[in-house]
Amino acid sequence: MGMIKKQDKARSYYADVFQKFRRHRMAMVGLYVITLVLLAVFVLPLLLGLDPITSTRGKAFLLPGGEFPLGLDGLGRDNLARLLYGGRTSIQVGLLSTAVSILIGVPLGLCAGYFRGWFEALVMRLVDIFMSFPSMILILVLVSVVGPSIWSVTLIIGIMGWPDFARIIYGNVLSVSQKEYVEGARAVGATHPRIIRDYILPNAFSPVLVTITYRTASAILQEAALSYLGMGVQPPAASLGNILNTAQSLTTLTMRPWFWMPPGILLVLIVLSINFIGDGMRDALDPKMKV
Amino acid sequence: MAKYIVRRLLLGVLTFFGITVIVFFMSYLAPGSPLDYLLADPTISAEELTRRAAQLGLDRPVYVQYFSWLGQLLQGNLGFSYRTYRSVTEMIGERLGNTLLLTFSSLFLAYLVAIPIGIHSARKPYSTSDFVSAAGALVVMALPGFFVGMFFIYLFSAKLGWLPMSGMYSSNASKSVLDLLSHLAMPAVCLAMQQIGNVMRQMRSSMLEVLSEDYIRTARSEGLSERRVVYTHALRNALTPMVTLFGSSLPFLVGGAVVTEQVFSWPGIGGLMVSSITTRDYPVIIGITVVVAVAVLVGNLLVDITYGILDPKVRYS
Repeated sequence: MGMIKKQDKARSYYADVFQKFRRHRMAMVGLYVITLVLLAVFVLPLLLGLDPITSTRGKAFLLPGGEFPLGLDGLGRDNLARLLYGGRTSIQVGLLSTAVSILIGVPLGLCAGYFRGWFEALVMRLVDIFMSFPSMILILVLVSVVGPSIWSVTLIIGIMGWPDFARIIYGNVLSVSQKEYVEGARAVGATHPRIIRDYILPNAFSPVLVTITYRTASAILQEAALSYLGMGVQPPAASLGNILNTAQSLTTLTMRPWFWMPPGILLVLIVLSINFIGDGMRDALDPKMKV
Repeated sequence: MAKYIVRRLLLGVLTFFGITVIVFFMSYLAPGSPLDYLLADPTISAEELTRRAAQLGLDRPVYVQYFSWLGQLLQGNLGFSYRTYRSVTEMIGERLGNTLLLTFSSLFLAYLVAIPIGIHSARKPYSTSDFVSAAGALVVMALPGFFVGMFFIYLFSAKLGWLPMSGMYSSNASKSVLDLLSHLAMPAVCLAMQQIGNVMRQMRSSMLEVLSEDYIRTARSEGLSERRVVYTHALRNALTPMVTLFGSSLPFLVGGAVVTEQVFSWPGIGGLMVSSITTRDYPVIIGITVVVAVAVLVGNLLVDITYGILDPKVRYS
């Protein structure tokens, strides 16, 4: 009986949140845009049979039109294919590195808030240190040590993103731990893992959803910046950042805007729609919440 | 107050040593060593290599190496570049001023634009103009600095021919302030755009909070003009949290400067960082990291102390 009731309540809470989210106009626009982008970068290349790697010999810098709507790049590769595969790389790096940040940050923040004591002091001091240091500099140093590749970049951006999650879950666990139902669970002798799993986590998790959106957006921007500097995803693999990197030459920058405008605009669209979705989620979950 | 400052200072020193340990061991694990350039000579003997290693102290245990490096660091000696053989302190010294010029002019621009907009939004919350500026803040924050930079160069340099594309001066012979400002304009605006959104949001929320205080109601009930209430009574208190924002925006500012300097070939430490990473010049990479760490720590310390003076409540928290 008790179980069924709990699930009913949980469903109605998230149904309620979804109702509110749907009324947030910008968030819905963001949701539509990101859906279109996802279809464009994950499905369209397969439908059209696009190839971002192979060069068409003797046709470097072919102007846009006909078979190649965005022309060919300096090595005779299809610009449209590179654009879409680049967008795919961005989204993939953004999501995977955020997953890494969650895996590190959520358990640390959770334990810091639940067990308190020296562990709390240690974790929260580390959070302060990480947040007061320019993460871009540390990411660059780490990449220079490990060597740039799509996987090292994903991992490093993910590792550097953990404090965001640790901090948000820590604050929530602190307040949830004071609630009567946690006291009650403790009084009837529930074990720590059980209290955390059944009482703390479900009630402290919703702000993490908002942090996921913001973190994904900034991870995508970080990867793009790294690849733009030549320290991220390495050619021939395409990424929005490294397409812009190769377009830096004066002639391409000034004479061939179709090389670099589309990847820049796609990047802005992705980041912007994710941020709008995050705003909508924040307002729907709790208008007073500060993230 | 003294106790508060001492506690902040100790925390800063602790953080500094934490960062030096991390950075040093990262460079220790990094591929490549100061001896690499000797290996290019195929006739070099094994004895010669060990002798050179001993000379540089590379045969000693790693913790001894760390402390001798730290000792040199505290004397302002950051070692020598693997590539140019020049003193790292000197290389950073001649570029640091340029980076500070860029970052501070961009901060100035950001606050200049964002604070009035934030105040305006707070005076009419949930109005159309508030909605537009909030959406604008989100859009501006989503713009990647390098893309904005490339777009600026395309528009203002290539198409319109108004501003120079890159560098700091048109020629080394004649260095005029006007020439400097025309070179500074695009990178500073580009970097400022990344700050504007945050400053605007913070200003709006702290102004909103202050405007709901009792003393504001008192001021209004005394019949003061709305302008007077906002700009003399509320603004002073609403600006206090902006000091903290300055501290927390320092790390992002430095990160943004690395990219912006690269786009516009601005001769600062960000560009030096990128070129050193490309050539795996570890003494320079480590040197810049340490200098940035110190700069950010000192910045945060000053912010904390200023905040402690402005708002006595924080000293006891």
